[in-house]
Amino acid sequence: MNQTQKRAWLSLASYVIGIPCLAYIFIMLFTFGRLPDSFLGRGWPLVVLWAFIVIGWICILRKQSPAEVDSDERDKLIKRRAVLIGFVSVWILLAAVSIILWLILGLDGAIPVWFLTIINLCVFSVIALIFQIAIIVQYGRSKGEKS
Amino acid sequence: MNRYQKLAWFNLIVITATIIITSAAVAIELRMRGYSTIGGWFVAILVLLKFNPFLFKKPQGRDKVLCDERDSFIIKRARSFAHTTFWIVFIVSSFAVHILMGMGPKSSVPTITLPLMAVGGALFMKIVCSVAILVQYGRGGKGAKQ
Repeated sequence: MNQTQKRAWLSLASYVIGIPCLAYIFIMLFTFGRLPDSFLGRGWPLVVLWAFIVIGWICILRKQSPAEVDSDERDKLIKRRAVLIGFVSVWILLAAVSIILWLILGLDGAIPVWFLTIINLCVFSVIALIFQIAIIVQYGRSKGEKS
Repeated sequence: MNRYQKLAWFNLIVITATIIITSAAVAIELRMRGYSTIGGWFVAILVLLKFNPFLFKKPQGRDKVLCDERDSFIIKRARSFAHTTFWIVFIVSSFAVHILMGMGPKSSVPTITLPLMAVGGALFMKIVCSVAILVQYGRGGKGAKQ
């Protein structure tokens, strides 16, 4: 497994851990107005997530052998294709969100400003996730072709 | 001036002209009628951006070269720069709206804001990409030779 794959897996794992934690915090804040006095409520999952990311990056940056290369032509091509997939997904997602909002609220409807920020941040997160998945899928495919 | 430079200049001119004409039309309409309905339609000038392949045709024939390694490197770098800048501006602008419109729960924006932000982002990306291409060719000085 090379560095690009490791990074993609680490990011995917961070998302898998981070999304439920953030969702829990948001739900608690919006439903009850405050965070519960528990392990999850005190923000410890976010500390664990950050520790996981930092340790993961240290492990990734440490080379397994001196001969290990950072990236070759194939890695660059895979990354470029993943960026392209992410780029196309941006417009599809933004168009989909806009259409859904128009269908629900109508052309003269209004949305709270904080909701707009959350939508944009969510779109950004989803694109980052799509980028990582695209990398992993492409590596998986090329491995299948080889075998 | 090579094909990519011509394309970059064309994009910049069309986008600038659209912004100026649309703003002027909306401003005049608002001053005369108090509301604007026709001014916004001048955005249609942007359709010209889709005529790029017909206006600047790729060189045909065996001995004609479309681009060399340096050209493709410049394009790649410009696109990458535009992509990065787009994300930074997109996220910052969503926070800027938050700050400009107020932090309170009652402050709201029309649903059209999101598609407008997306269109604005796309135009911004095109502008940044075109400027990055021109700047890189300007630095190298190769574009002027051709």
